[in-house]
Amino acid sequence: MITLNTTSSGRVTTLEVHGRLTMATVPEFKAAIDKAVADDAPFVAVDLSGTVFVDSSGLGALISGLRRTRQVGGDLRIIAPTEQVSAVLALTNLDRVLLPYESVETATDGW
Amino acid sequence: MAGEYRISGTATADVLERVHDLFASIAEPLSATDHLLFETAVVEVVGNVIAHGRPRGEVQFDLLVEVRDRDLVAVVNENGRNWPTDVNAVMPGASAESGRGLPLLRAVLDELEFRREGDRSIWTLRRHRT
Repeated sequence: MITLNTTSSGRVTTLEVHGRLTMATVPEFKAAIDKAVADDAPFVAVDLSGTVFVDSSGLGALISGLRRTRQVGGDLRIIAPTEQVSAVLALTNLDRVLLPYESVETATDGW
Repeated sequence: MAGEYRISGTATADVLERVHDLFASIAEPLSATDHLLFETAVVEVVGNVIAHGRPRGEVQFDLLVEVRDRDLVAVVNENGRNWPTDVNAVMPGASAESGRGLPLLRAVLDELEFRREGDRSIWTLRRHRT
């Protein structure tokens, strides 16, 4: 189960991910990233504070989002990953690629 | 006496909810780390069967999770017609968008065994309790 709340302001998109980001729910997440890019709001702050679970497909989707946004001159940052998500990022060495920000304000600062 | 939890069904994406429900129903007092990391491992294996098992949407599987005194054991028994060739794959680089599943499993488990028995694939996962 996943619920995505998207807001955008200028070229910045805030994407709240509530629930689980796994192979079952990744298509919706990817569609939201595609839309942010298509709408010329490719600076994407992904709020993971409500993301209780991620699997390797979810990680792939985050990395894919990073690539997609950077391809068009944007970026992707993650906010407040939960315990399970932080553990999985560390175990897959992605904690150095996706540095967590504390809040939407700090994540979007400078965009 | 081990706590035993089982589900069986067809490997389609909606079955992952039942795996999460199984872990939510575990009555034994596991550490938060054990609970979330072992759930991660089991979801990874079942997700693998859903995504890569053939024929897609028709693979039948059984999942057994045992909560023992010293460790957690899960067995996934499935009848997909294909199976991984390299269970010892190393973690891919940071820009890779796929290929993290098996390395993630090995990072959270103390043992990961894959074997064939007749026309079934059997994944056995084990994590020592902390």
